[in-house]
Amino acid sequence: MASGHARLKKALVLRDALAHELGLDLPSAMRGLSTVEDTMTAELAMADGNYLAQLESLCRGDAALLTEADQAVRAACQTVKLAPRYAQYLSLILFAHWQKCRSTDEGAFLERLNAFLADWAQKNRSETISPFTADDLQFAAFWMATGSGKTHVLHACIAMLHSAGTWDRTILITPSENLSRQHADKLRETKAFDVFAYPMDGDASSLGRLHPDTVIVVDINKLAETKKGDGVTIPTSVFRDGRNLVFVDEGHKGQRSEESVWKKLQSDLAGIGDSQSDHRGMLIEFSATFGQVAEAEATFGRYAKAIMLDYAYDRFHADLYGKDFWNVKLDGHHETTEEIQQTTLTAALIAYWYQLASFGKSGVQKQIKDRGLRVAKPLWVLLGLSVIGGKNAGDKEQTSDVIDVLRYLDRALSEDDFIAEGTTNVLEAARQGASLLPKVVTDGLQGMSAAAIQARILNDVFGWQDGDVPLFRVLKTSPGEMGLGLRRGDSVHYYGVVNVGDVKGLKDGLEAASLEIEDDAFTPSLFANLELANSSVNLLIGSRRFAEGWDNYRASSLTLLRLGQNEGSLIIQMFGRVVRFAGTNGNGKRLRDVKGDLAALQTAFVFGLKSRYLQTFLAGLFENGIGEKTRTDCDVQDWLPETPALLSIRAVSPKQDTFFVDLRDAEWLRSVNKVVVSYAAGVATARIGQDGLDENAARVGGDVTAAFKQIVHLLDMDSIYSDLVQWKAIGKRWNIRFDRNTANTALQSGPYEVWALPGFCSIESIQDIQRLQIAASTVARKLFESAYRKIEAKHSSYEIIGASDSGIPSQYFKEVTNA
Amino acid sequence: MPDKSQPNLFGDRVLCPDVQNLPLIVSATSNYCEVLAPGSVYQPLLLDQQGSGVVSGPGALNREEEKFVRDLITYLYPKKDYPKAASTPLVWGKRKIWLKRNIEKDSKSFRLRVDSSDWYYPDFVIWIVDEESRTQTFGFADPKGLALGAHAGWGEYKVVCSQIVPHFLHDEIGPVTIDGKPWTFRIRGVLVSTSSFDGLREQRKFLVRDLNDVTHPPTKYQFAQARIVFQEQLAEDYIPDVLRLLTEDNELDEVLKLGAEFFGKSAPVKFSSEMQADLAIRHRIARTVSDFTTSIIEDYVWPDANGKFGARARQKRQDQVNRIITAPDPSARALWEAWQDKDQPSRFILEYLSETIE
Repeated sequence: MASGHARLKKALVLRDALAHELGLDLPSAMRGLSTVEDTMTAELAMADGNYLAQLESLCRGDAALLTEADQAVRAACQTVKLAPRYAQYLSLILFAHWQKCRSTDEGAFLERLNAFLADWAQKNRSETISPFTADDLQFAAFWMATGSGKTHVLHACIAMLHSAGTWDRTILITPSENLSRQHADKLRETKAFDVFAYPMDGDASSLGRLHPDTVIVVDINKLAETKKGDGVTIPTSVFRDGRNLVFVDEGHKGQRSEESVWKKLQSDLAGIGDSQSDHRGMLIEFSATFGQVAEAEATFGRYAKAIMLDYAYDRFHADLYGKDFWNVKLDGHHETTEEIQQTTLTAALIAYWYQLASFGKSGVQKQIKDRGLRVAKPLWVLLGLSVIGGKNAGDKEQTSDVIDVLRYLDRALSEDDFIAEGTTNVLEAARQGASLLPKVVTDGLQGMSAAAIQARILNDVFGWQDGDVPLFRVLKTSPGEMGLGLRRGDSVHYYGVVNVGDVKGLKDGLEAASLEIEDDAFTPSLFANLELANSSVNLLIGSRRFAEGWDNYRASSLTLLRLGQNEGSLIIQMFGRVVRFAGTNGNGKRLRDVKGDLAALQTAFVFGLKSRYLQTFLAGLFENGIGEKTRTDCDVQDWLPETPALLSIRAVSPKQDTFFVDLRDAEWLRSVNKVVVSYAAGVATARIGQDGLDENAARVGGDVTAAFKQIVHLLDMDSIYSDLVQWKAIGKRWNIRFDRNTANTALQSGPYEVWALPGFCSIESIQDIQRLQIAASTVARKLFESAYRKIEAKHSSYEIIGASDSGIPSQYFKEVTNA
Repeated sequence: MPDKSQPNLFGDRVLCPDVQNLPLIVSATSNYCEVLAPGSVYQPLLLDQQGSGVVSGPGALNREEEKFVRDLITYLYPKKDYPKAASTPLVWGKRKIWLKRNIEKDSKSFRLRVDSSDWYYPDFVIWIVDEESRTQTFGFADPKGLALGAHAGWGEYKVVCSQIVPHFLHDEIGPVTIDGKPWTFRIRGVLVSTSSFDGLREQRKFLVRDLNDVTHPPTKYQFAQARIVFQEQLAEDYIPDVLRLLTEDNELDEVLKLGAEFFGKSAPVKFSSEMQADLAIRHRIARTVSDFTTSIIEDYVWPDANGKFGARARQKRQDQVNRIITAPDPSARALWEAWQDKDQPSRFILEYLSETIE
């Protein structure tokens, strides 16, 4: 099954219908406009009418329609002071045409759209899209990658629709108060709109007194069908009368069941399907992640008929926008979680340090300057999804993950060789062919010892000096912030900040982990000052509030702490934060074909802890099928010669009642083959190559058998015996016999090897015992299986048969995924 | 009736092609999952076209397997005059060659196992038929990545299955007749390593021992003796070795053939040769067939200064004898002094051990 992303891309019938009406072949139009933008910059392309000229030259229909749409786009862009990039321009052209058609003759437009849909359906039999209705013409959507400038397009749409008709209200719904503030600021900068940001600009009673053209900016959490308590909630009844123009930023929100109330609320506000024509407004959504939300069948067709243009991440990246990225995920058995966590954090720390060190080199700074690049000082961001310190189950897990990271930092800054030892493991893994580091970093580390790397990391990342003592401090001046610092005599040097939802929750967690936390009454917000040139903060640990609207170019390395399958949209947004890039003179583009330090600075290093979703998402970006498979079975042709007959050999397994496996005498261990039980971790890496996603997988770990044999006597042999009895029963191996002592002897002196990450055999808690207990059961079971197979093999026989009986298939299949 | 015309796989319909019209496996086949492979006992062969949106089976060939078949055919037909008619073999001198893609996980397919291993399904069966001498070679070949990390080496079950296990099978199946006449039926295997020679030779578990018990990475020739050849870029650089290994035995094969007798229906009790006695000692020590085979390869393949095979094996026994006769037990020295065949230390050791035990 193809991802929702790939499937939706193929089903954008409104996009195709609009392009068809304008006489455009979309791929050619995008290529042409992109070339224009590259050749002369977006400002000139727009100002001199070169975008339009390009489209006219490609037009196979009535070019006058293009001119008309261009005029509307041009006016809107002037209003909001936007020099649109080519994808922004093309989206707005399609939108302008849609808006004109729906407002001039809705009936005729619907007829044309449905005629196009009928023809489209003939060629796309795998999807069933219901006919366009008048309600569909109240809804539009823009699918744009994070960083591709959807906020500007949103503002241009407001300008276009304000000049095209009258509305009783314009409401811009955002996901958070923080984003409301950003939208309001940017709208005000254009000096084209009156703006009312709720609740910052006044209470709910002010809403009734606003001019109809005022843009009301409010976050979704403040809206409800009915007023709740005395808080800041606005009942939607306040907006009930009249035609509302409703914009939704991060429009993917509201697909999950608990959020579906929001979706209905937005739809009601826009009067979609309202029987009174003077209440029928318009809803326009903007998101980077419709592909993921459209996985739900109920919404698939709705978005297929509403999306103007898809400029999702694959196209955005192919146009050289944003950073390259490199992703690694270390994934092992759950028994090895702590080792994996430490190894991943060390690798992430090394990779981040490499970016920071590259940034600090004078030669690199000169290259940056000479090439007009804007590169911010690298920042290592560790992100989870829930509110740190919160009280629900997800928040608690999140808190414990953050505490694990803080414990890691505490050890890194207080134990002499902690980073060096971790570095040795990471370098050893790379030597084994399972590099946890991007190649640019591995190459750059050539010739450096682990101790030297540790010294540089301590100095460059943490600003560590001899005698420093690590500490954590709650910043009293800035609610929700905890500083990560080093005590240096009477002063404190801060190297990082944690964005905490509930300080008390985190405090309790830290105390439970025997980590001390103090208060700091004077230091101003570290988070707010991240952008300052002299910020000493290199490390930011945060939660979901960063994902929405954190407007900063510093994030260069991202470590994802705990991400679930249900958090797809949020992960993509987080990903968007770290791949954004200011580019040359602010054009947002990375340089092509750069190597070494500069490559490290225009690559986002993404490390995953406890997450598989990111890789699924990345793979989905480059998938192009629509998921329909056609299977055909065909006959195989037998080309065997008649004479001389070819002979083959058949192996015959023995019947179960012809052999017996007795393990009660330890002698069996002498003749059994060595078994290997691996708890080594999987390393999966991904980067974007020329032909899409390059993915690699390898394993990392070492032989810990000696240490394992030393702890065997501490384990509960009765429990292991019970596991083995269960294994015998489940597999119906009634012809094997063993007793309690068999497993013990096998574990003490059997031929086996255990491979795992360092530290696998250390026992510090009951969980460690449980982990080793499971490993021991596995080792014993594998030895038993090996002995069983050995006796079974001895009773196997071989016989001569004709080659025609030797498993030549009579049929074969081919399964084609429609391209 | 389905349309049997050759379709475009990526067109509107996916049809069953007429195999005679399929492209040959030796052609550029990038857009096809089905190809005609001259000499194959069934058609078509399937190619794994990763990333094309086409999945086929059973037994779609990966890139290395596809290369192996292509190399075999192009080596035998340098003038590109490939036989394309149905049921037509490949020709190698006076011999005919047939090829079968062996489908794994099918109990009718050819499969082997050793010690406690899972079933091993080699990728290809290659029949080499010499009607003149009435010899049918049942060869199997397996293009595989052999850089199996620290767990691999000479003891890897696929390696052992390609070396000594075919000799067990001979013992079990007995004489063979075809069309009422006795034929020589010869079973031999070869592994075609897709891992590089340099990557493999340095691995600890592939090292071999010289006269003085010093370990060395094996040479390409020694790997070939042990039935591992490397998939080279050009067919002529490795296909001749594959065919030779299937049709001719080398010195190591002769040792393994003798060694296999210890695992057969009637293991030898008397040892007429020094080599047989050496193998008997190894058989007593080895816990498994894999251990037994590994010890033979490690000690036999590195030659002495005169190029003589089996240097370490001989020296090892000589050293053992020296240890026995210098031990406090005076009877050992007396026994050795009375021993006629001083060049047969293994037989002496067995004799000594049996007397000691008695």
